Amino acid sequence: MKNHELLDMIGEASEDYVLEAGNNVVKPRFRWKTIAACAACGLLALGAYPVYRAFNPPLHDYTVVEGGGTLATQDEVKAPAGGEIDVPGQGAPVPNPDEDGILNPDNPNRGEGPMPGGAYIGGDSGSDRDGEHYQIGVMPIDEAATDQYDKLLKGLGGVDGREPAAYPDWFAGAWIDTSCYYDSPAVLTVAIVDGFRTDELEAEITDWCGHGVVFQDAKYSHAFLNGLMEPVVRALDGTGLSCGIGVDVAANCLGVDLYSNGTAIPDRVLAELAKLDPGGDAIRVRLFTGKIDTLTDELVKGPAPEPVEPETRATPTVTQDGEPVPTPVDGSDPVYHGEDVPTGPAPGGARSVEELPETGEKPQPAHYDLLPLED
Amino acid sequence: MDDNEIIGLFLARDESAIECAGREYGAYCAAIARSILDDQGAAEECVNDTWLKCWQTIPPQRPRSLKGYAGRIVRNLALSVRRAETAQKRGGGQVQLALDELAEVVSGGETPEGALDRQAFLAALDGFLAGLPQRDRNLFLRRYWYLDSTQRLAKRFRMSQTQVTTTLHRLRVKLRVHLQQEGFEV
Repeated sequence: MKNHELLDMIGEASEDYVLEAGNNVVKPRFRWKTIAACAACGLLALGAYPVYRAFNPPLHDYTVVEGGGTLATQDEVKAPAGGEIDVPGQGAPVPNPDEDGILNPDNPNRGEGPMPGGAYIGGDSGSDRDGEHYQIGVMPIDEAATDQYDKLLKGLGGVDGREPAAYPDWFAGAWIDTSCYYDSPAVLTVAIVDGFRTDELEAEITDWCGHGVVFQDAKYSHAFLNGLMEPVVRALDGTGLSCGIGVDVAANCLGVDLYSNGTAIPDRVLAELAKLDPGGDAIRVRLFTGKIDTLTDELVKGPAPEPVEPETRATPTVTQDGEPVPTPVDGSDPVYHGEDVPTGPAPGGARSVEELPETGEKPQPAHYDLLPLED
Repeated sequence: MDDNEIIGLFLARDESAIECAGREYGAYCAAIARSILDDQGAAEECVNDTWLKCWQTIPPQRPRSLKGYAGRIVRNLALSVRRAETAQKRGGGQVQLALDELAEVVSGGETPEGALDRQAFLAALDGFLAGLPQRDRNLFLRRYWYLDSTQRLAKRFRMSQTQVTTTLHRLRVKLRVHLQQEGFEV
């Protein structure tokens, strides 16, 4: 039989089978393995991410500022924008606006320094090492704007120029903007949290303060930023970093200025800050790399006290373990343990090693004892 | 329009039967012709000849399936054209390859006229096809009836070409054994 005959015979095969083969369309196989592998990879990635994040928490970013810090140094006296809070034992004291009466009409320095609500006017002043008065960057006081600020505080519920007990949610801060032209008056700027700014609110503030108030949108309320201070201080606790913390109302963030003095910010602190500020814009961290002038502390706190002589140690009556010093029954000398041994001549005429009498022998290493002595 | 209506038109000698058949099964027949013939024009000519052949043979024939009937006609016509071409020059694409493969099944010797019981052979062939799993049967017919290339089969059956080649070889061996068991001296 020839192959072409067989080919012809196959051509005569059952029509049903031929049509079946003609219509046959192989359905794509359901790719269980591929789908299962992809799902497993996806689950692994989803599961791995929290684990990775647990070991590598996101860190808050920060700006490194080369040079000295701003913590009351002699050569570079400037305060961070907004108020400044001193972490206990970590820097110079900061004037309290309420106590110092910055807004008090009777205060000759009225209108300078940090104000309630985070507002800040002018530069800084004080006495230098030689007792000379210095004044840096003080802007002209604008009485009208300051009065407007007083009225704003009053409208917010403050009494006698003091801060109100709590700021409303819409309030993001207020400051007297002196950045206008030299011959133009400063203006009071009131920041309002996004979503709260309405014509009615603006009208109400204008009623309180009078015309000329500038309004600005802000993301975070003053109360929120104030509330961040305490956890930030807690996060910095125990790091040994000096810091200045305050609400920067103009930048609408909590300013955290750290003074490294050569040390880096621990990742733990940055992770904690990142946790407090997931958006990354509520806390502004700056790291000043310069050394803080330690003489300043001396000036502020006075000369370091003279070292106090330790008290003369009395003969112990109890041992280190808290047990009474044993006294022999026969009335002989007491027995001492460790550092409880009193100084001075020991009872019974015993002497310490340093008091051994001169023998005229040459000092020599111990192994020389095994060698015959030289004449 | 279904098969019965078109066949009815052929039986009624209505010339619109050719147009209807061409509309329904033209693509199917063209695909068969193209897989056998490389020349597009020759394939189209085969399809046209198929409708003419249908016109000539229906009646008296009354096919159960016009699609199967027309497909068989176009295959035979295309093979005839192919053979004519092959007689002039060697080579011949899938037909030649299929013939080479089928040479493994048959001895290639002359079969005395009338010695091969055609009906019995076709019954044995159908028996062989019936005994195959559906996928193997389809693969066998796609290769030796529709003369699809192995590349096309691999794509159609979602197999590798090696798998296709191996499976076809196994089926050819199986066919030879089956025919021998049925008493045919192939």
